[in-house]
Amino acid sequence: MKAAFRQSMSWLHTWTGLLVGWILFAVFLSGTLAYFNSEITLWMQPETSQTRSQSDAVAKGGAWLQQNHPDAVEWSIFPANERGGAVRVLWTPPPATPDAKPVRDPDRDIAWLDPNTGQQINVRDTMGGAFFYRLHFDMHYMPRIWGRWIVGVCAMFMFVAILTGIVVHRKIFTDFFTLRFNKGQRSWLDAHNVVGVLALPFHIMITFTGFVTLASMYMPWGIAANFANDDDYFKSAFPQPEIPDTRGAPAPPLDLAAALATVDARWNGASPSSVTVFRPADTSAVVRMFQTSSAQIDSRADAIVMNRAGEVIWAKAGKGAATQTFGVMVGLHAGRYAGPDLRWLYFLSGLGGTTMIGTGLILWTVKRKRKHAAKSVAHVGLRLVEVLNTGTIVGFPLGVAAYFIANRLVPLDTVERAEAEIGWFFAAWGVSYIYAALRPAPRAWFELLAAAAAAFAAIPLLSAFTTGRNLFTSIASGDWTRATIDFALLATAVLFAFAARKVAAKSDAAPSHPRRSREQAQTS
Amino acid sequence: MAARASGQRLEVIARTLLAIVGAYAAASLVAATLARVLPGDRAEAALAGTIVSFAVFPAIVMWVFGARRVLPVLVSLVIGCALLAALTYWSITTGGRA
Repeated sequence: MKAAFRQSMSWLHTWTGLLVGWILFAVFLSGTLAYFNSEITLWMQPETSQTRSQSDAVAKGGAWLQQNHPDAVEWSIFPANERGGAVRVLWTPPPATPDAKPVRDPDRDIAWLDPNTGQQINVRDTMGGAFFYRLHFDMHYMPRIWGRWIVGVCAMFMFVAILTGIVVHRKIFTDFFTLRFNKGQRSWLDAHNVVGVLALPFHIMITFTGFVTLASMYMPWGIAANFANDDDYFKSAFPQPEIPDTRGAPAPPLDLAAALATVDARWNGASPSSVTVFRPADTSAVVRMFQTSSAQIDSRADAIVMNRAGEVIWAKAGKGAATQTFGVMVGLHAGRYAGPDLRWLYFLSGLGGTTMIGTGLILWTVKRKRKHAAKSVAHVGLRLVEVLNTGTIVGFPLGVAAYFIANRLVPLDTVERAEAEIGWFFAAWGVSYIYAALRPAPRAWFELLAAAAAAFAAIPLLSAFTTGRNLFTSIASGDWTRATIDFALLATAVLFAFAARKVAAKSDAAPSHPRRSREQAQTS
Repeated sequence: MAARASGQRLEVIARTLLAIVGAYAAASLVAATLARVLPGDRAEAALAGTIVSFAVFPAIVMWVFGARRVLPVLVSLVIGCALLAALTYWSITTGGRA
């Protein structure tokens, strides 16, 4: 009975893992990159300096609006956190006639400021690291809701694959220390086990909390049981600040200093991450601030509403246990609270998860290749999996390289420039599948890996030629974020070059081995 | 041999369907029932039930595939879901929703 149970779990593990493995690989890798979303955006906008103080950046934004749009009916300031750069400011100009409704032009009524000088700058239009963040759960080129359901279903497959993987895995602690190299199938299994077990608590945590982030969408029935409509639930569970709309008399445009002093005291120095000022040039001005999400694990940050003098007129009530648990789970998933050390741990664990999925996919083909080679029959399914494996495991990183390259090469005045960069990402990734389908398997692996190595190595060089920044100027000016990204790109290039060499050595050695040559003949 | 293979295939399809439909139905009903029966604030209870349901789902999937025979699982799931549904229905009709 026990053996039979393990066998059925092994079957379940194989098929849940394989069926959605390619999407999971993309979801895991994009999520892993998104842990450095602010840093990536900073690298992709070389025009800005890195934020030294988020609160100061808010003050600079307020001062700029005070000076340049004193008559606006609404201001918003979105500073980057200390990991990022440019400050985004938005305003709603006064209506043409006093009775008309004020309208904001999303293309015109926006400016970017340097966070340290407070001067307006022209940053290039890019989604930066936010692209990976959105791709992680929204996908792209499809309605958001579809993307979220696809990712949710795949995540449930993942969860089942992880849990069955634990059942199948007999010697968790022995295998923790077992990694045999150059032993073919056995080595792939070892690698799969090591990365799977090493970060097992992370994998379980990240998959479970992933559902929780979109809980009310995937599982609306708990809410439906208690509330006749969703709005009532959200109002009850997550009360939003109320903005009084009584108008006073004209006044000089608001100075944010009083409000910033109030939140500084209330939040023990934590900065605001989003600031909106309603009717800044009126005595009835209202300031609403949301606290930065790096201040605590709970992702549902504090919010506060103040009047012109910085007196609190609305504050968030205390939260119940379930709401707090929910917020902490979402916070654990997104990792916005993490400092540099923990952020790297998140990133490495994410890479471990990505490797676990990738090695699992490869293991599937390695196992079956041996079986089919023995029977010497060609197999369409095996070939399909191999093409999808190559196109995903090397193609996705190749797309990332193309995205970074596009960031430096697409002309700055291109219409819809941010979307054009994303187009490069998907073009490179998509072409990888076609290429993998046209070439025999070992050649496709080698050539795509080599292309990825070349592409990643080219990025820091290209960046040096097309912007005023390069690895040496970054180090010299103490710009460690950009320098680290340049280093990471070079390290990625070395990693791909190493993998390409490995594959080349393998396929050169192959013809001398009778079984291998037969297997090569079928796959080509 | 061929008959056995197609019988196996049919069983895999049956178990897959039962795993997906059964696990989602059971998880949904656990969420709804907990939302009704947990004490305290209504939004809190709903959220707690929802969070728990994500652990119910994979457990049911593993049960469906791990059990030696699929019929007893089907029967237990149907009875369990019917009980939870009845409890939730009764609770809503007598207590009402917010």
